[in-house]
Amino acid sequence: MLSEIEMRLLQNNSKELAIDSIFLGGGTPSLIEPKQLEKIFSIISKFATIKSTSEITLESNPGTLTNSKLSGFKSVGINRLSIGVQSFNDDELGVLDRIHSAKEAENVVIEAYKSGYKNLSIDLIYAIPGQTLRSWSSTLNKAVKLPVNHISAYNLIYEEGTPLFDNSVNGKVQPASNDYESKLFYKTVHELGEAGFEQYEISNFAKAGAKCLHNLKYWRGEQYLGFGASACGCVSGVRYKNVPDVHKYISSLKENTLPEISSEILTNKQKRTELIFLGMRSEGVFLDYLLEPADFEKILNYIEMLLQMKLATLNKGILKLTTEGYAICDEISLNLIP
Amino acid sequence: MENFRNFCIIAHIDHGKSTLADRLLEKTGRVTEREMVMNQILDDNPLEQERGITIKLHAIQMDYTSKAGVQYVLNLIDTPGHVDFTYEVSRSLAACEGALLIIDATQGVEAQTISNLYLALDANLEIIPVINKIDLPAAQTTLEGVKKQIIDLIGCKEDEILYTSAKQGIGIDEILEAIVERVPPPIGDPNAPLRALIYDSIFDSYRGVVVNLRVFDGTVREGDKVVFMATQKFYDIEEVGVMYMKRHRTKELTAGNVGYITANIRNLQDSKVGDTLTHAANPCEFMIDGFKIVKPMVFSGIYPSNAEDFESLRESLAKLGLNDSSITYEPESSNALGFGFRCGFLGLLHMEIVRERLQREFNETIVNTVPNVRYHVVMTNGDDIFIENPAQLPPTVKIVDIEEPFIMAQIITPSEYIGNIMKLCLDRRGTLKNQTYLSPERVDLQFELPLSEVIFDFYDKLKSVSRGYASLDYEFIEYRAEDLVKLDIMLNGEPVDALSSIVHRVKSFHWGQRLCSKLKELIPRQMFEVAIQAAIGSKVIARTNVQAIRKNVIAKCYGGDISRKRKLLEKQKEGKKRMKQIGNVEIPQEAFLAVLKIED
Ligand SMILES: Nc1nc2c(ncn2[C@@H]2O[C@H](COP(=O)(O)OP(=O)(O)OP(=O)(O)O)[C@@H](O)[C@H]2O)c(=O)[nH]1
Ligand SMILES: [Mg+2]
Repeated sequence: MLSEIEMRLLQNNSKELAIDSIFLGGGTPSLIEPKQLEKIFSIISKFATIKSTSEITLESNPGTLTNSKLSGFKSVGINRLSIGVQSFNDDELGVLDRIHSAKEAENVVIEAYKSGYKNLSIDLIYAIPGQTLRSWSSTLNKAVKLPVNHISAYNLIYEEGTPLFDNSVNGKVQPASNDYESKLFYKTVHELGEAGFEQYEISNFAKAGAKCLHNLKYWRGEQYLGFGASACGCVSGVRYKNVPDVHKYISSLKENTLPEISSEILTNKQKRTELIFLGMRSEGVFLDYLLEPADFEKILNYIEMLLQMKLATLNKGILKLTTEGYAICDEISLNLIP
Repeated sequence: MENFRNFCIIAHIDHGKSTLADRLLEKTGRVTEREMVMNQILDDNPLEQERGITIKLHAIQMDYTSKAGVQYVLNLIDTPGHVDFTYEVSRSLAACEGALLIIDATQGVEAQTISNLYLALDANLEIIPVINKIDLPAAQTTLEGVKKQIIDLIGCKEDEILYTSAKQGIGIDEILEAIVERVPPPIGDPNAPLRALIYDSIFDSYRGVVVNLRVFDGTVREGDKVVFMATQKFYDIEEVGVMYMKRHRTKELTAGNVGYITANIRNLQDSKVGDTLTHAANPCEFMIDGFKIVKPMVFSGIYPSNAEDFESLRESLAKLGLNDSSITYEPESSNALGFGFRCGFLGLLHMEIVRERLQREFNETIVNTVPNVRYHVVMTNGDDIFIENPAQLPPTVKIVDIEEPFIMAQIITPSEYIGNIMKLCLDRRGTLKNQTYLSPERVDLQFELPLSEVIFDFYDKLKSVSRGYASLDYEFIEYRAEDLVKLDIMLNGEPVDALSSIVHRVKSFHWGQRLCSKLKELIPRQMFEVAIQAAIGSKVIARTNVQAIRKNVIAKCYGGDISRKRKLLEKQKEGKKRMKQIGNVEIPQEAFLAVLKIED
């Protein structure tokens, strides 16, 4: 991976680039040794500048974070931790095949805070089979009492190839109904809101000043580089994706070629589609931008309807969805994209 | 002329006409075994091959030397068996002196066996009964009974019946011999003024109209000046020939023969089927009796999926109409579907075939509305009109009577299913008119039924209540006043004209409910609740609603997911673009055919 970082940074003439966020995610990056992380950062620094104010996040699983690792990561520069708690209910963790317990997860968060991490985020999942509104509510309750300033709360996705997906197909588990999911969603927004967490994207909630800068970049259509097997990046309107197979990834780099499986130049229409749907998922989109195309009249009518139905608000020229709007964001985006 | 034999093959659907034609073509060497690249080779339209049914009549000429060493020219016409295409059979009969009546050894006499036989008898044709599929094991037990049915039906002697397996090529020689022995040679005078009957015409983009005709008197040659007697259109003949697998030029056709002519005719209307062709300078005295004009029985809207394709659809319909003169089409418009055409068809199968041909041969993407019959409306101001679209029904106050077409249906069934069939027909507002036992186990039932009750799923129902054994044939009898009402569908209060239908008052309530719940299944949940209502006039008789979507968003979308998510949205957007809009409500195109999928 180090050689990929080197190749890409060289290729992008990144000496002039100042990096303001790094996100180490995917899989279980907390398995890595702090020493190895240090190497990565030093390579990056060789070819680009990491700003001193950078947000540097490490994604981690509760089971892998020992106290020594916590301090180790801190000392090599990690200043934000995102911890995959998922739930504070042991039965639900079992359904999700997680190895950690609710108690362990809670302790890890507290230890991390004690180790000096001021920016702590946890991931939670709702609509887990068997989850009730009440159990979800108590998970949320526990979460907001912990010293975290950011929470990602996702609706469970049945991803093909996972045991959960198979079980939903063969009827062993009963996925929550669409209506029930919406109840859980509204509960999430409500309870987190009461605790001072603002919803700044469909599934992301932050206390004041604690929005994840890195994610915002994705949603604003800004440039990013991704490294590692399966990683994606998007630079100057070109999106690439690396091979998912680790062996192929390594062998390709040994031959000094980028391990890309695909790379596409986005057309204007595609860029437009992305900016609109990503914007609608998060901070909103400028009305002027939405009204640009030939379908002016139709889109204007549609937006008026959104405002009237209180699915969106218009503030300083930006059309942004309300919670009710977020709940059906895909349906709305479909009407706004070209 | 002594050595011409003109015959057609007629039967109930699927009894093996086209397969038998294959064997005759092989035996006479018209098609070599190597050229026999597919079964039912005369079914040359891909749709015919796919569905395994014949849609169009197909003529072909063969040479045959009889056992006695005499050379004959045989003109064969293969015909469709399906009731929608009876017109093709009548026209074929007019060109022939004999008919092979094929009967499936395991199915016996069925409805179109009888109706086609009567058509052939009316046309004074010599009938040769042929029992086919004797290779089937089941035939061993059924054959005797079938033989008896035929003897009873035709009044022939037992030894006049031929036996064959078209599939295995058994009994083919006997059939050929019977044709030359039993089918009378044509009579006519080659030296008399030209008198030829047009029994079919096909449009060819290079040649113009290819006119298929049977010459009764006289001779037609290339270069002749001819006139179509009914239309009084004059032409110079370009090419004359007979049909082999392709057109085969012979330069002339004499009395008694069947063949084709071309004359650079660009307008199909000039050379109408049923018209008589004669020489301009030396015309014959009397026209040959033409055919009853077939009128479409079933109507439905065909609209382009994309409004921009209206003109292209018009052209495609016009081209299709060149080869299928039984289709009618008139421009119309709908609040839901924009501009399109109201098309008339011979039946539901015909409609399906036209729809598929438009899609495949002409690459049109279309929305097809629920079919209906043609209604006759007597109005208070003394006028009376025919309407082919329920949305056009005048306001109730202006109507004295709405009349709908009735048919006489002939259903032939093993007697054990009488009860089921009676129930089905009574449900469909039918009345039993006649019941004749063809044998102790087989009965011929005659029902009067409103056509509108037969066009939807009657046939499938009939098959299912009789385990596939009952067969159906029908013909139009008359228009009758019935207590009919117009049922409108409204979405969030907006009427959707393309979903209006005319139904019997007694059935309207049930129908409205079923239609509403079917639509509920088909209309996707939208941002707001969609109220679906069925109403007669201003009275709502059924309602339901599609709840608003509560949640429709994918939870996660970070760097690696953006492309995938965009592609997903792009795909959904394509789907959305295909939806039709009524007010704010989006309706998928399938919803317009919803009624066809309604189960009892
Ligand atoms: N076993 C057996 N099957 C046969 C025989 N003749 C035809 N068939 C089968 O019966 C089916 C219908 O045959 P076709 O020749 O298409 O029947 P058709 O009368 O031309 O049908 P339409 O044109 O649609 O009315 C096909 O599956 C044939 O293979 C036969 O002698 N024996
Ligand atoms: Mg056939």
